[in-house]
Amino acid sequence: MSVATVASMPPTPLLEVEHLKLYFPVKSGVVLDRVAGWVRAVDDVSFEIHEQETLGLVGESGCGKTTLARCLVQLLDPTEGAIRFRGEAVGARGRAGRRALRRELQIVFQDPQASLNPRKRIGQIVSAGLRLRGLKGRAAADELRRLLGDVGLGVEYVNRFPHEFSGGQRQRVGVARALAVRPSLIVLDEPVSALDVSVQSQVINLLSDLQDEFRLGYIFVAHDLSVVRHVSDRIAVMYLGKIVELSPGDELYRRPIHPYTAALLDAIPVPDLARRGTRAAPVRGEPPNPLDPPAGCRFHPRCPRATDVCRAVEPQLTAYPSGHLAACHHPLNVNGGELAAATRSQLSPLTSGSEAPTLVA
Amino acid sequence: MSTQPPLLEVDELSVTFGTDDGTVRAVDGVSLAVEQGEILCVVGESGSGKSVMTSSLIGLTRAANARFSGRAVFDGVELIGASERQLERIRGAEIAVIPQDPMTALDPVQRIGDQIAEQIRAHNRVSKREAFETTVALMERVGIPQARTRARAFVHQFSGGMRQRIMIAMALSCDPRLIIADEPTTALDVTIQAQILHELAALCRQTGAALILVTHDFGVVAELADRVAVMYGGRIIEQASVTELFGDPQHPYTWGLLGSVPRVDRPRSARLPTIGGAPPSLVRPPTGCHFKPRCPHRFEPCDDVPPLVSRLPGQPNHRDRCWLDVEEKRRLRLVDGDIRLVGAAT
Repeated sequence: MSVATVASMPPTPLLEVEHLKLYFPVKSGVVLDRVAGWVRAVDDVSFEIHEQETLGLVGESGCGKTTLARCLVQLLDPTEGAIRFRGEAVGARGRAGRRALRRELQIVFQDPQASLNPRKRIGQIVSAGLRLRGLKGRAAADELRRLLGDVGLGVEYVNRFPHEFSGGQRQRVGVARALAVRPSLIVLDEPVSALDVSVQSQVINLLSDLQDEFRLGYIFVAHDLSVVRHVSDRIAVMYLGKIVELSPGDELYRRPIHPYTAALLDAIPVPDLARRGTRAAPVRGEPPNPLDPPAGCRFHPRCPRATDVCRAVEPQLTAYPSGHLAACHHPLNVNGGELAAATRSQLSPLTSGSEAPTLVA
Repeated sequence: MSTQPPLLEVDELSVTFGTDDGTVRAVDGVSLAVEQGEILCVVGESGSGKSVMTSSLIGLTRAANARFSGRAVFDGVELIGASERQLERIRGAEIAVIPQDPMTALDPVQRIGDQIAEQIRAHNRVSKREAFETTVALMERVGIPQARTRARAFVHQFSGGMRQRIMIAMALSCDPRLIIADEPTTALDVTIQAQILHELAALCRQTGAALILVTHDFGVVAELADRVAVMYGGRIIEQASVTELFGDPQHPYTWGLLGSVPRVDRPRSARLPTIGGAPPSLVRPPTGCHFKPRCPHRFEPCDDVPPLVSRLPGQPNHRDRCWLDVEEKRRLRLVDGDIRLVGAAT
């Protein structure tokens, strides 16, 4: 059932996502709102994440990664599909139940400037979460001091306002705020993309320290594949609302199976002069309009390997023996033996075909 | 090196802004030269002064509280303090600019083709029809499909990548000799970034235009640059050919930058190397070397500003601002076979 179940992992995943869909209506007309179409931001996505695991979620802008992230922390309601937390369906919970769940699932936003209330002091921002935990007075003050220390901010910052901080420090405040309610899973939505390189690595190291200390699961949403690789145990690649590849971290970089992943990896500029001029030609074209996605495999208009089946049939998510999943009819870096041993994954979209992948010349 | 004078020569350029909190020294004595047809990458973090420096060259730093000193000579013409009329003749025609965000640089209510044609007609005496034909040819050249039809479209009908292609078409419209591109691909996705950068570099090589490319990505530098200038706290702290900079970097900040980039081409390390601390305040910068508070290798001489000079025998064009001994630097920067900045700064 599970994809890359490591022996030590508990049987029930922390969070399971099953055939999740989130469609945004596109309205037209001035007086009468008429739904002209749907943007399928997240279109039948399934995966699971275990305790203390980091799942990287990568893709280009518009692929639905942020929408998915917001859906997971219940900032958006899914159109269809189920999210289960520790085996219990999230949608079945009542108001109080969902409130309690919000303490387990926290989010750190991309823009630390926009996600901190400019009129509140850092102490107030972080201790809102402590109040939810029932901490008051002296206990709350002690915990606040400890939390700020944990994220590398001194006590002297308690009474400062967000504008008095640098970008890296603000992001630390965002992390402290998320930690205040003692979550078990934090969704990090592009947590370092607004930061400079030298500060970026400080925040990444901090996040990995906190993960060990607080036994956190992370969903790390990013467009930067080199950062994602550094933090993730497993990585999901999204394209136009679908997961096209889901793989153990290093494996994805060693042998990408989906041509889109290969194109993404090729496009990363590598700071190594020996590689200068050796890069393959960048992938052609741009992502298609999400209002009217192509039939079959959504990557086929840009794919150098596309054939008739790609244009007609949506590929299933195929599970390869190495614990690597990919939705491609003509996979890369796979040999005949692995192809024969491959099976249809239960995480496959419901509308996908049952055609087994084949190699092309 | 060629014997002809450089296309652009900047000498001790400083830009300051008077504010209520004090004087912000955004650019602090920058000197550099751009040769004909070369690609110079200016690297630095936010607040290092790289954008203010490049926009000051063409008179686009227009804040009322801005003060300039120093010189910038482009092909014999002094740019700093030039009149708006003089600048108008150069800007767009001789020196073209590609901004970071094309959405704010293009007029939302004017057709794309008209905007490009307007620029052509501002600098050349051609008919509207000729200008339009040139526009279509330019749009085809930068890879915009169905250029003739798309020339009649508006900005909002283009994707981010296509908008940046339009900016490139506009920059090329008057055959400039220098193009200044300020982080032209930061707003774009990685696959589109690769397309745009490759085309920009190829077009520069074809037309013989020099390119100043402002970026924070050492990967981009490694792929495109002929020469590199690294900025920190308003100063250039190291300047060298791309092979020298990657092979024999002299300034500890450069080591830190090179070391803290997560790499996809290497085995994954447990922790990312970092540069401790934060970039300096430009209002109250540290005395002496700006990097001193973050540098694990600082010693007494660092209280004086190190001049930007060549410290390597036989490498007159590799200049840096660091007092450390060359041989000692080569020893300090090597950590497990890689160039890194290691050690805690307090």
